[in-house]
Amino acid sequence: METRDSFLSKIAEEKLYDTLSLRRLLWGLIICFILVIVFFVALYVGSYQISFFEFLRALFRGEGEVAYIVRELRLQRAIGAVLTGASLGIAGAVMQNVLRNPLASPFTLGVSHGAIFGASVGIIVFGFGKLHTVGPQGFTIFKTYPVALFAFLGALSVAVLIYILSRLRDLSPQAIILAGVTIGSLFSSATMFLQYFATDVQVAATVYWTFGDLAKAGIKENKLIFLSFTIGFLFFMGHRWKFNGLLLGEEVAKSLGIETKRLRLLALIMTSLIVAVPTSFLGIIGFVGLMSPHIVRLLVGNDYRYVIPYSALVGATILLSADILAKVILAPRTLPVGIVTTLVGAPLFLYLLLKRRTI
Amino acid sequence: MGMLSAESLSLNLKDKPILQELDFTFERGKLYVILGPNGAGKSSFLRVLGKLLDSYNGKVVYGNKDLREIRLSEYAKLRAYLPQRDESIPQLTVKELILFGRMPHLNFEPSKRDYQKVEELLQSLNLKAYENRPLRDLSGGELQRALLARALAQEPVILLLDEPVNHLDPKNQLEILRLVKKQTIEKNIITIMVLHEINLALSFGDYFIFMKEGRILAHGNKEIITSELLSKVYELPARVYHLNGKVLIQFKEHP
Repeated sequence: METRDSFLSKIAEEKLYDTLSLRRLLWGLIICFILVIVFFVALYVGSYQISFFEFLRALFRGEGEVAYIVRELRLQRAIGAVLTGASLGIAGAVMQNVLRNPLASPFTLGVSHGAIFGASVGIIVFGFGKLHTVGPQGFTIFKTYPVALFAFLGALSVAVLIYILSRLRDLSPQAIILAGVTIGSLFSSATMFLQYFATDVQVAATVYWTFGDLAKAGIKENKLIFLSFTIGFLFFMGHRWKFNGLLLGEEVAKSLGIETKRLRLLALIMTSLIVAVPTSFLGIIGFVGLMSPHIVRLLVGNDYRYVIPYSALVGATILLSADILAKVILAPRTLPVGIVTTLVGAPLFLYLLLKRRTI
Repeated sequence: MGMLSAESLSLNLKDKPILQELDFTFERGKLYVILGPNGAGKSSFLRVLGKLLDSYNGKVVYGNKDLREIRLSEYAKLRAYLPQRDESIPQLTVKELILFGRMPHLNFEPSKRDYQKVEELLQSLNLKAYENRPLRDLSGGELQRALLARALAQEPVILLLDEPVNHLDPKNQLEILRLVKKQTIEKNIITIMVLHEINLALSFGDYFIFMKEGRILAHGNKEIITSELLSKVYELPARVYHLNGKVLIQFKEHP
């Protein structure tokens, strides 16, 4: 008995008993595990049906049509989903923090719509991405870099507008969201306006964007999304303690040495970047950014050392799962994944709106 | 050494004068209480001293450095500030709150010493039993102790408290003020506190600053407190009782 007690007290000293840390670690492992499973399911499921045995063989041997589908098409699609979901998840977590608004996300504040408008300007007005059709629904954008840049500028202009609005006094979180939704519709209208000057193919493409779709994720796009995600992730993790400080309110955050105004603005610029790049390639994917941080906070609490990376993991898992659903619901047809995420996310948004909880 | 002084400090907000030509020097090891009616500029004075407002004229000097030349992140290692109204998100746990208070001293991740400090504060402020409880589930007194612990986690040399015992029952009021007093003496720090409860101020404060309309009307120890001064500050007739070396104030309605 005595040895056991001293053993326990030793554990207590080492802080291993800290239930919260243990819980966080455990959930991290669980989420990673789910993500890996979902990733392989995503490689397995698709409009072209393959048997499980064929699937296994395709995984390990890179020859033939099945291998091409699994190891090229589906793999890139799944990687695109992971990177995009992770980007949106982090963007939501950071926006909810810096705007102190549980309803904030790239979609609900119109940042995604700004990105699409920017990309449309790049494609239609400046002719950067002559669109051409490949197959019945796919098309690719040439000159991805300038298009991504334009999307970033579009997203940034919305983010700055939201920032200015949020600095005005006495605007409730709900009012900010209302403004964000309005700005989102405004930019959607502006995008549609641009389509008057576009060719039929371009119109088809931009309309198709309204529902984000992962079919467009290719290796070239994924590389760029990976780059923007990495830049954003490093920035946000580098400032994780400051995001924690912001949870204590403006004045206390300042008293802890945080230049709050500068941090908020910088953070919104970085979220614009990590939202704009995937959005410019894949279209608007709603509610992943809203949902992920809320799920993470339910599981591991509010410490942003964990909320940031876990929101990325959960966002990736959600988008990948949604894409599997999109492939399965009307099989062999594939729905745009944006429809699925909206179907799941919209009720959650309404719930949060009614519950009026703080972040 | 380590004195904090305001030198002809003035502040206007939206063209309204808030503070006018304040001169004062705070010394270590003393508990200062700023008293005065609502709108006298007490909280603004505290904010300027905390480098939380920077549109002021005049100077604030700590040691021999102008506050404007000290970086916000440097100053965060020296002073802690407890605002009148807490705006922490209510889902935070007590332990998280206190750990976040260590932020100015962190390099990358909390060290053993940081965790020790948190543990110490949990013990000394009697918060150990609620360490993993979210703030929203705390009683008023528990919450205020947790917030004070967060401020003390900064290991401040200057502790600024804006009405730290508002909305607390008498027992919790006394407990918080006793803790503040103890810290001030033990750690030999400058504590500056805005307080409305004048009798509480009298039993814990070392030095009193009476403010009205952005100016310091009077300052000094207990001896300066007279019924004339109080009626001038608060525009209410007041009586000062002396009981066994203690001073007791009673305000009256207009006759």
